[in-house]
Amino acid sequence: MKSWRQRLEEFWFAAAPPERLAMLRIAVGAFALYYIGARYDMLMKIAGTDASLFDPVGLAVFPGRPLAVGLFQAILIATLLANGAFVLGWRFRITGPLFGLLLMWLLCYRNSWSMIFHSDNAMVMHAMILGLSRAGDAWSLDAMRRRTTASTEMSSEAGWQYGWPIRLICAVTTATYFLSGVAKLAAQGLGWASGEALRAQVAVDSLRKELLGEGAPALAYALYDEIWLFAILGAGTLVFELGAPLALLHKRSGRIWAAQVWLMHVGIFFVMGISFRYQLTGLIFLSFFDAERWVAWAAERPRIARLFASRKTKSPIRSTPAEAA
Amino acid sequence: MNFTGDPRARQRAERGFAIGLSALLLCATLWPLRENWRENPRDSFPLSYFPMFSDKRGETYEVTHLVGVAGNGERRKIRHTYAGTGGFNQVRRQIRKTVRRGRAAELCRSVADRVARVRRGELAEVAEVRVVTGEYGLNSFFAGNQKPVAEEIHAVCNVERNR
Repeated sequence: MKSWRQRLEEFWFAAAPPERLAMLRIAVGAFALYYIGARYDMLMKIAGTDASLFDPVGLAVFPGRPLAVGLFQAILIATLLANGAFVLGWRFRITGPLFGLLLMWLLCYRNSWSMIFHSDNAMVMHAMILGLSRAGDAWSLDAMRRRTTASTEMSSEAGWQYGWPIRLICAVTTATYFLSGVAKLAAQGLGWASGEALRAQVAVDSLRKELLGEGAPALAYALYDEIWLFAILGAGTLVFELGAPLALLHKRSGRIWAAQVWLMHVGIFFVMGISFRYQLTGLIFLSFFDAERWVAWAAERPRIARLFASRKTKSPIRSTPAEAA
Repeated sequence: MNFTGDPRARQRAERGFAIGLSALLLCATLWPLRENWRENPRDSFPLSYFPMFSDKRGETYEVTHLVGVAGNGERRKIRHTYAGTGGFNQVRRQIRKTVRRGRAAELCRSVADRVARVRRGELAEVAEVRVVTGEYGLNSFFAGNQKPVAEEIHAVCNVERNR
């Protein structure tokens, strides 16, 4: 009979192939690069905003006041460079944690101008976890260098070293949804699921958008009188948010949960016009899937393989013994 | 993070690091839960208690926003981008904060100057900019009546196009 501690260890330190963690590094890193890069001009303008609107959150308490625009620009460029190194897995032992820290600081600073964007939290936490893990051991410039120098520092076999960061990413992801569910329950109790509360949130958001010239989505008007629909959506939201930790218990339940919550974000997009990009692209849920297998699957398709023929990998993607069985 | 040295000691150190980091990040992520039961909860980043969509809403709602008034007295919406940068919600909050701090006139002047540079479209006809807080009935708004139940005018500025 296994003790609870053994069970917990087996659960948390389940083996995973290094490519799975590498896939997360590349996907999360590439998204962050797009996200920050596409907002370069906007971030620079924000840095020059009226200092009286600055209210530091998180790491932005260092230095706790607006930076000179030139210094902010230097940090922004350093973040983008570290981001590139993170995606490529170059000197990952240094660039991994460095990027995690820089991204966290940058987005804390961006969120210090009167509005906290709750869509960024998970990405920052995921990047930090990946930066502090062995996510650079495969599909990276470091791995290529290791092959040429025959270094023994990096493992190429599946192991617990690659499993725990994925578990942690899944746990942090579900925790954020759980927190969101608790906040609704703490504010309004189970009444939040009646439909009235959700409809009022949609109405307030649409009203703000109309008055500030953004324009509310047509669906918000079309659905306003369908209170039964808001009741179903409200109850579903509470179930998926409060039940989020259960998604950690089993691979399949995790995937079903991820698919349902993704659909919830799609609904939010159409009814409220809010595009939580990290969530809508599905990247927030990637850790619940064996994403490295998609690459193997694509490589086996003749048409796709031909596209990458010159870059064909030499070694097949490994699975854990349990997965192989 | 990589570890070097004797393989067994290295594995122990790496496992200890994994346990420590996992416990730390999970506790830190869940720590903001307590904000839900505080008298004055404070949200933060990246550790948040995720209060979005949780506030209790009444039958009416107040929005502080900008209104353009054309020469014939017609009201025109002024997009949030005329007041600031950083996205719709950020600018919305900044407008409210600026008004609360008694700087509505300053905001009004800055928006009026930007509107004065518009040469085409609805805003080209705007002669006056107002910073207002309007109270709207949610049901009536969605039933088609988009006029405010009450409105407080914080600042009024003329649009000076020939400056």
